[in-house]
Amino acid sequence: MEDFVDGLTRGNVAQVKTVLASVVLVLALYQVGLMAIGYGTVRVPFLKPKAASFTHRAVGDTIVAITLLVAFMCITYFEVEDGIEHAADDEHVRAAVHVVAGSLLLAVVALKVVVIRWWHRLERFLPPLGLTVLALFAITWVTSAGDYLLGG
Amino acid sequence: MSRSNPAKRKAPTYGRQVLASLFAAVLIVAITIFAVTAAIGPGRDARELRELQELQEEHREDREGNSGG
Repeated sequence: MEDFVDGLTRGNVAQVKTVLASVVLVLALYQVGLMAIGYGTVRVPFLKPKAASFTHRAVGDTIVAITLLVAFMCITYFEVEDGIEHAADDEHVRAAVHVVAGSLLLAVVALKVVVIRWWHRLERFLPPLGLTVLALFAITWVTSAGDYLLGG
Repeated sequence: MSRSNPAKRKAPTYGRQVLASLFAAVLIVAITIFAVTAAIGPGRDARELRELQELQEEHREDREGNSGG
């Protein structure tokens, strides 16, 4: 699997992950804006709440697909324990936070999908779930892609 | 008699708005890819660079071997 991911990215696993994670984070911010319009919190003349909600669902499906791809690359190439153990001396905390935030992110995204598709009784929790997903995306990005881009 | 019956009135469609907001998402993705790729620059641990380093090491070892023997 490691070779597959290496071949898929032509040896640039970290760079491809950085680009994909950044795309996901920016789309997640766009999603918050769309749902603010969808719930009527923000009103704009050019986009009706129903249209914003529909786009939110379509972009959300795309985000889930990209997130799963990034998670697959991360787990198969860097591995959970190796990622923490092989981190540089001053980077153990960052690696550990990244692993915890990434794992929580997958769990909360899965819960959100279940609530949207099947568990309609919990729909009132969708806004806080969405904001939790955004926060976890941000933490996961800051502790990996952000560190790669800004930390040098 | 052109008065429309509310029951028969078509529900409003938002096709154009949906398409426009999806296009905005595509635009955001394109700009992000462009910006992040530019920030990363040429791959620091790209395979080509690693292969180049390996070749340089081989050349160095060959030279050291020739000069030693």
